Amino acid sequence: MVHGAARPQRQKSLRARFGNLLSFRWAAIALILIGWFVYYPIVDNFVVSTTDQDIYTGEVTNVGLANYDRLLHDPIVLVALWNNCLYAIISVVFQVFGAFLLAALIEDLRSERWRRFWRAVYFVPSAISITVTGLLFYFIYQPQIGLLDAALSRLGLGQLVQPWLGNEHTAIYAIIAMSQWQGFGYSTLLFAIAIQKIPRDLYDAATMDGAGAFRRLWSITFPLTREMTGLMIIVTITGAFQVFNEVMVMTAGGPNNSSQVLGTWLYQKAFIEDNFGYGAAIAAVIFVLTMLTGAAQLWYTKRRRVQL
Amino acid sequence: MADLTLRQIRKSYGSVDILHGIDLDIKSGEFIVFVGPSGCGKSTLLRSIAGLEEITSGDLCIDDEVVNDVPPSKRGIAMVFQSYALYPHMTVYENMAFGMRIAKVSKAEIDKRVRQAAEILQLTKYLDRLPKAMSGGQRQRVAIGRAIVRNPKVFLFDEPLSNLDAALRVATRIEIAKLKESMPNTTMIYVTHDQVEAMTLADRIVVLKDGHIEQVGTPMDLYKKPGNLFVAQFIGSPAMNIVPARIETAGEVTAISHIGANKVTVPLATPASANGTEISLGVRPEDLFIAAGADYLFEGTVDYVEQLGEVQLVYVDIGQADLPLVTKLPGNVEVKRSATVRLNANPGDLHIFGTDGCSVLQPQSAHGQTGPRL
Repeated sequence: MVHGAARPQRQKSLRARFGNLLSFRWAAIALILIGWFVYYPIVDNFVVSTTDQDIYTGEVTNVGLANYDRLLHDPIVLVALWNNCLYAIISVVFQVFGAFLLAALIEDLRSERWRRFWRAVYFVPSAISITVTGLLFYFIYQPQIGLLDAALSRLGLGQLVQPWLGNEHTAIYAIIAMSQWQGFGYSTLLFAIAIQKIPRDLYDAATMDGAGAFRRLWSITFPLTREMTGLMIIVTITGAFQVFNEVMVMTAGGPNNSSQVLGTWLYQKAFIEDNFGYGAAIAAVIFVLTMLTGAAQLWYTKRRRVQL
Repeated sequence: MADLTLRQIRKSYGSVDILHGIDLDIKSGEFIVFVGPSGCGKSTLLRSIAGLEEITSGDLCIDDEVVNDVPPSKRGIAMVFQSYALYPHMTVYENMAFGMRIAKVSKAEIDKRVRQAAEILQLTKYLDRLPKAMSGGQRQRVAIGRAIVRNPKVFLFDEPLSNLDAALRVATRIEIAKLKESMPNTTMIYVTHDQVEAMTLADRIVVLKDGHIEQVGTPMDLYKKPGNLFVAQFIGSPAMNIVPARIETAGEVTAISHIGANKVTVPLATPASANGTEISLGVRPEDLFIAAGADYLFEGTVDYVEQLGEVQLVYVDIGQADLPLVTKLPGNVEVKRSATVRLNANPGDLHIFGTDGCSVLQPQSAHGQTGPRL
């Protein structure tokens, strides 16, 4: 009797284990792919960053933390890092807080038709590839044939006319401005979606409580889109540290390395100057910076999450 | 204390008319319930009174002052929403204090009023909680508390119980009734599609349909003397039975016949010209009973029986193609399916409606016309 009773239990347990194994097998395919294509390259990048590699001979020399030491004393890395920070700060101001304000204004419109129209107007630039946008703005900023300088001249602001991408003091700002134009609509659309999720009754209740438009924005819309704001800050800052295409297309880091960002400097070192170890060290810095930013923001957002 | 007067209130969204000239006088301290089917305009009317919807034309007066252009917060009105509309990121205390903070009421006064309201609504121990940590009933009490602290002249309730389960709904309904008792001078306007709420809470009920007022009256007025077919069938559950009939003999008392049943005499004077007029005969399920002798009103076979314990709903096929007659009988009366039954009602419990749907038993209809109108 005892044996008879124990058997089905063991069978059940085996079946349960087999079931678990089966489900693990399904997950394993995805895990192997992610591991191979995402996590292994991250680890390998750190390994490469401690070496000096010769692309022609294939010779690999272990140099320890020498690449990181060199990075700390590289003045262009500082310029690039500052440019990335500038990119992040300006993008957060425009693409997060600016987009939030614009989305709130659009969603406050009474007519659904106008709301759709303005969402579309602002979203269109985001549908264009960043490389194409970079090329487009490259021509807009041209001193001879560019639209910007022509417009400034027509408006009587001739003293402002200059080669925007050829000037060390304006090149990075010109690129960042283009980037805001391109990304602004996408952020606005995401904020519009977040605002639409806020029940209208809350605004009605606030109106009954005597809240005007600004008070409703500050006391209702802003706190209730905090999760989206947090997400947008992460995406914008990590995006700012990974920026590459537009800089490469418009200035390639010039003039005189004034518009270098970590991404273009990494490319320059690893693929133009064949210094893979140093390039990997820059990539490691980008990875750590973006990961820390993301982790900090996720922690903050989770702590302040509001359940609607 | 506030009297409310609505004069020819119209509301349109583009070419779609929602309210078609609403006229209504609400006395200070009255508990008025707007009731009607979905889409009848009751919530729109309430929101128009609150100032959340701009009225297209007409005048809305509070204490003889036209408030059409007065902002919602300055009308002396507070509103309790169907979804509670509590600010999810604020504590119960902050939710109740929000309006007063905007109005720049002193901190001491805010604290006093919030704690007073919390005491009345038994919310004191929840003041530091966020709404998400509270039950539906507690949230609704917070919403009521938020309205109370503003000391409004008029309270508006927009289907406040519809998100609660059945048991909580009854409990909260009683709480609202007690709240009204404790604030006898405060005017309350309550929107619902639930006629039990309407009947139990209202001093007067306003029945709306398609943006028109169908009838205004006390709950028992509407139940006993419905002004038209719509009100007759809307008030009461199950709905009033309506059977096509004809006036056989007009006079001091009126003799009526209907298909498949005996002639019945009702104590109602009708003009001679009414002879032969097609009418609708209405009788409530609870007014029908099993006929004892040969004197009966309806004869038919039992189609279906719903036993509810104390009472039973008996569906009787009387030969009308489109409707069985519903009868509410005591639960202990034995009624078998397919059996033939004869039903009777007191002549005074019968309702007669003319071809235009208006009751001829109603001397003055909601539309201001006098009956009988055949």
